[in-house]
Amino acid sequence: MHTTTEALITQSDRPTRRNAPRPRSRRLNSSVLFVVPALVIVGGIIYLGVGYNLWVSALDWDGISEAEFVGLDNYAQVLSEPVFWQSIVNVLIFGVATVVIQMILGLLMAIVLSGPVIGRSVYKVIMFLPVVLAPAAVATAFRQIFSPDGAFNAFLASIGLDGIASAWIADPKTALWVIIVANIWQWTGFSFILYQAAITQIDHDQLEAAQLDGAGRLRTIRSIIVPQLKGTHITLAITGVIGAFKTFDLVWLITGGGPGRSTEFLTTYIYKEAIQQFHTGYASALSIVLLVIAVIFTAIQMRVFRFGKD
Amino acid sequence: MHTTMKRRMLAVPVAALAAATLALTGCGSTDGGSGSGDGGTTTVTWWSWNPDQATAKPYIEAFEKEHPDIKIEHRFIQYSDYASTVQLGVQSGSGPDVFGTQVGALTTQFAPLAEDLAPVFEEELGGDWADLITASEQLTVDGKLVGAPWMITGGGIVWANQTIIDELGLTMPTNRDELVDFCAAVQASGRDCITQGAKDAWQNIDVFQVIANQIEPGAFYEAIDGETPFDSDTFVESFAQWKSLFDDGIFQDGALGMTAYPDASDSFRKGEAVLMINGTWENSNTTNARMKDFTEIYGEASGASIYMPYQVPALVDGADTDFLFGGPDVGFAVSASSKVKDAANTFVMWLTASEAGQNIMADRVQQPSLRSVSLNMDDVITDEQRAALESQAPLLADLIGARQIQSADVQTSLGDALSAVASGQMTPEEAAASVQKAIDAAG
Repeated sequence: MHTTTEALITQSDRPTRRNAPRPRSRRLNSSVLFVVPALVIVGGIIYLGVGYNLWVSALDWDGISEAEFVGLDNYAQVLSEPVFWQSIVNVLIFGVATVVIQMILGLLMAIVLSGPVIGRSVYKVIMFLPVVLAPAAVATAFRQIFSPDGAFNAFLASIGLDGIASAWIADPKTALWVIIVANIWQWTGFSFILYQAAITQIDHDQLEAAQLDGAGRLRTIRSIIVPQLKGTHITLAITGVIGAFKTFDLVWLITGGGPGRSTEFLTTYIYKEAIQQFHTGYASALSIVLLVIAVIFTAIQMRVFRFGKD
Repeated sequence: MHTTMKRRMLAVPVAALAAATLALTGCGSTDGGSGSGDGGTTTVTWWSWNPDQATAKPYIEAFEKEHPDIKIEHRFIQYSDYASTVQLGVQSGSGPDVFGTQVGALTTQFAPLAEDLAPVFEEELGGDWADLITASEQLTVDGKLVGAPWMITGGGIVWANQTIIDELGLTMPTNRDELVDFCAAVQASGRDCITQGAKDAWQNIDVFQVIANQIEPGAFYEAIDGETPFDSDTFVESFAQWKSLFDDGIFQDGALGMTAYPDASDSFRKGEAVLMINGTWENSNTTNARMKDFTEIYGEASGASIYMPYQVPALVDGADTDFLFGGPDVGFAVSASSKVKDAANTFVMWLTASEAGQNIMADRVQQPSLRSVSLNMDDVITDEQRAALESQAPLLADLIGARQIQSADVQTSLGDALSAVASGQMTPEEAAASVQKAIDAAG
């Protein structure tokens, strides 16, 4: 037997008929005009840039003087470099930690603030504010906070935990987590906003029906709200992972990839190789590898989520 | 249908607007582009990490007074961002006319982007120009003088806040045991002992050179060039000594997360740390003019302190500590893509080969490259400081080695090794081996 809730859900899934579609030819003309500017950017700048990068990755070049064609040598070198694998590990840890924690925290706050809370709109602004801050400002602030005489250690001392106070950024075991914390602080607001918008789209009738069926708050969240936010989950997971691969400023400004190379990310590694060590060809190969990895991850995720939808 | 027509008519102007916006963003502002100004004045753009905004002003004012038809547009870039900014600027054609360059990778890599200044010097100073200036060979790449040496500096000095030391009733340590006791007393007063910007490879490499030169004078330079092995006992011991500076708390907590400029130097100038290993480029710390700047930036206490340069205490028993390593810390190059080369050359010659320009540096007690100009001690505050600066002269005239490493890869490898050893990720043996590997690869 269907519960009221299930009946309502299946009903809303059925597509509704709207106006009949316009004749194809007329639709195509105006559509093309709208697409042309975006095509100019994407084709002209991005794809051309990627193509040039691909070419340079086959060269032994310092960016200034004569270049020498070396084929796949740079790629072979990439795969044999321990720093490369270290940076992959760092990005993966960073990616998983930040995406998962940001999604959980964002969802929690969105659920809490979807209820009757005094000063709700103020909290929403506060939640989203870090997202619009410049990463440079965030990085500087967190460097201060986690410095040996910074706010975090002072806080630990105030609650009697000064035994574990340490130089968080200078310790290879904890430096990555400082970067992760900074990223979570800055980007949870983004997850929050997306979840918040999606929650408002949930059919109130379903929630009422669930109440009628005797579901408690937690059961409602688990069985109705969270599954209905699937689209947002997917969006956040995909953009989160891509964002993790692209993260540069926080890493560069907080630890510079150090101590040693313990917090090296692919992006900082590329920067050092290209700009500081003048290995333009090798850095281009790294960039192509980064691109390939990002595309593979995205493809995997889209596959997984599409199967999940069935 | 009415709505469709309207939509289509809107489509055209909207698409056109979008495309136009793109085009406008495409031709954005050129940063630092040069050219002749109006009214017959030529504008020369000048980028440097040294001098900074405050220090550049007297040079610009004096030069523009002497050459009213040339205007200087200066841009200060922090050292950590300098190489990348200049490289992108010069290569994209929107870069500076005159830019600072330093011995080592910065010069060797930028050589194709700079004009050969040898003929300019010959015209200015005559055929024997190379004898009239110091260490121009350190800025020469394949026979091309890439940069005109401007300031000669030596590394291997520890700057001390003498005021605080005297206040605490301490004396400057001369060996390791004294240093350990000294640091204990300083830390008991709530301050850091030696503040080190260990996030910056260059400062770590400086300290490493001090240690290596104390253990075996001059060996570092032969090993870096590949003439002798780097994975030898001398350097393994140097790495071990380096690590002990962290383990024994001589360097401040969290040093690996701090940059030399501004973090460590700010801490030193504010009196939060008593010592900082640096070089003669900080010599102006002994002048009243600089103390005025400090007061403005850091407060009264900072500007009222007496800063003394000392040789780094002997970290190894019986070490000879009387040496300086260095060369032209700053030189100025003229961009090969500059549109105002004549004016740029005039400016560079004024800065580096004229008594007028070099005297301004001498007034700030920095060692000028032009041999005929000597330090002007008039603005130095105390006699002790004067004596200390005078004792630098023979060491600068006879440097134990070139401070900068020519190969960017070797430099990176040494920097990484030092950071890894300090944070316990590499043993001294592994570190020495990794640097040797880089030296071998650089050929």
